[in-house]
Amino acid sequence: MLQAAEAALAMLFTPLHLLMFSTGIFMGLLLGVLPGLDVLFGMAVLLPFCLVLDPSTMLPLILGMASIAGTSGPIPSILLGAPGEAGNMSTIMDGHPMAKRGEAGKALGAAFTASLIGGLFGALVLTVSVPIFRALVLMFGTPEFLALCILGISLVSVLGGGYPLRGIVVAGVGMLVANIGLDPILGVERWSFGVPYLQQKISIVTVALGFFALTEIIDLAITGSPISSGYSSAGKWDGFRETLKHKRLVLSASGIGALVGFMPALGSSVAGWIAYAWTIFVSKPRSGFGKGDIRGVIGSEAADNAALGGDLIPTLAFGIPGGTLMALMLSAFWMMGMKPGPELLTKHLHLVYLIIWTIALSNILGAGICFLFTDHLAKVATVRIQILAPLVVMLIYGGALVTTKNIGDLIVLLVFAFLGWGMKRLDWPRPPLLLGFILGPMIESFYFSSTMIFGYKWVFRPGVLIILALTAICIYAGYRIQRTEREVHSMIGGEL
Amino acid sequence: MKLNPSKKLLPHVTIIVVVSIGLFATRDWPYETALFPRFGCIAVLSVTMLSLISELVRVRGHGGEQKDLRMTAIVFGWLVLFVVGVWAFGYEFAAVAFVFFFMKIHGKQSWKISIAFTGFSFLFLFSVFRLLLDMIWPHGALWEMFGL
Repeated sequence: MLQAAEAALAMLFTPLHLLMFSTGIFMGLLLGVLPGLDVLFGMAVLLPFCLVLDPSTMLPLILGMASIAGTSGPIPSILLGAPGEAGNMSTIMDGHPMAKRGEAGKALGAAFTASLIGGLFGALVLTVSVPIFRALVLMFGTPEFLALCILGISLVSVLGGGYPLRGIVVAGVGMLVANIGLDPILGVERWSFGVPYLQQKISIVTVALGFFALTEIIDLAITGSPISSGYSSAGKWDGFRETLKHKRLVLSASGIGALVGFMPALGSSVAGWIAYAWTIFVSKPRSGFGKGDIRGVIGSEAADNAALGGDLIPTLAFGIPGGTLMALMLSAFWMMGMKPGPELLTKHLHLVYLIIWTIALSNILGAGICFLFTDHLAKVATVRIQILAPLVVMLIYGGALVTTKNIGDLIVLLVFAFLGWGMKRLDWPRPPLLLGFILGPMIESFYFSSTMIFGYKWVFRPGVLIILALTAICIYAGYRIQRTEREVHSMIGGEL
Repeated sequence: MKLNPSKKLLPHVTIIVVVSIGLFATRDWPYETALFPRFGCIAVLSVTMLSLISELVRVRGHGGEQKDLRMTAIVFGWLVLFVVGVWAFGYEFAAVAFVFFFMKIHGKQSWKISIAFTGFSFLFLFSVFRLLLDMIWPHGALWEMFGL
């Protein structure tokens, strides 16, 4: 085992592998910084090369790219309010308000440090957990995954921003919007009204870009002020220190990230939101969340980067892809002649270690590069909005258009920007919409699979009952948190 | 108990109307297709009504501030124009034109700054999307109309 790890590390430091590794890092950084372009796009571009290059050459390239995009993803999330990657959506909640307050450097410093620790945690989990998780994954069937999704959606009770009912309504609307298109069971059109664009599913990237990024830019363009009027003395090192100060939060959020990543069908975006809700749960005082609390950034980012390690466990150990990215990754493995499963874990263990080393080293290198440029990046927040707005809008439109290259993407983007802007103005919580949008289709497909396989007896499976009990606790705790938050709101309102 | 019917309740009303139309549209769908949308619509409608009632009776400390509606309309106007531009001329052309006109007309920036940033956006789009990522954007409808 140790020999395989040493051999893999030595392999990574040959000139050719270093070149591939650096190219992967560069691609990952670029994909993370550009809103709308994600690792899926990068994987799709690199897939043909898997047919002609051997695994030891390609793995540093694709894993380097995949593990680093989450590290540079918080840059647009914090500075512009535009998620760089799907997993960075929850970072916007507190990262962007921090940038508005002139603390972009601190937020970025915390995000990179938390990403680094989360990434290393994910790699460590991947190293030690294959035999442990094997039993767990075999215990989980579609009913347990359905229960997990219900647990995920119950988090709206925490994300309601003091209005639990509004949170539930918005999550429900998100689930309904995700229903637009062909239904997954019979393929019948739902609410597409004969419009070809609406027959396919609306992309989460387009929704998130309109709902958060464009909304923020619209708000700034209306007021004519830059993202931040001043530049706080709190810099990247303060963010670094804050992250280390909250080491228990970083580790617990990383654990959540790795665990959620490990669960098939859930992914880094779900991990980010669950970790964000967890951060609110375990933190006191909570009144600063959503207004620029650094703990929100730390929790989300640690979970996002840890998710990749967890995501790779079922892919490598059992050949079960946990999501679209892992399905592409699995295709890449097959194309390179790798056979995930017992054979890979015994005969080609050095390749598994090559993957682990690549994830660990790319996280260190990526966080280092990002950290180096933090001070320069943070200055973007002080650029005049008259200059910044058109450039950012250009990127947002490009990012939305990448999905299907259909003008419908831009119309959806505008509709959600208008909705998001209105909701922001009228004090409606926005995050539950994304949670509903992501989890709604999963709940539907897991529900039908569960009833087809187990009838209605799935409800009484022990795993389901335990998770549903956790859901009830989560809803109760969320309601208590919301009540306290509303009381704080009204107290502040009263003082004003 | 103090009733507080304000513009803050507009989202409730909008959601109730839109979701009701959505629910009506599911009437001819097969069971499997309609199960989740119907359940979702009914749940959203019920919670929205509950929320509406609870907010009608809730006393508010402070009302919404008056924002510049004119400026809002102008900003949304620019965004809509950009979409029309993408449809008519294609993304690359519309993006570069948008950057220039927004900076020059809306942002009232100098010619030097507007031209410099327009050039930068063109170079960025061309080098990153075209050369590096090999991205082909859809052709503008107007170009196709004129056979260009």
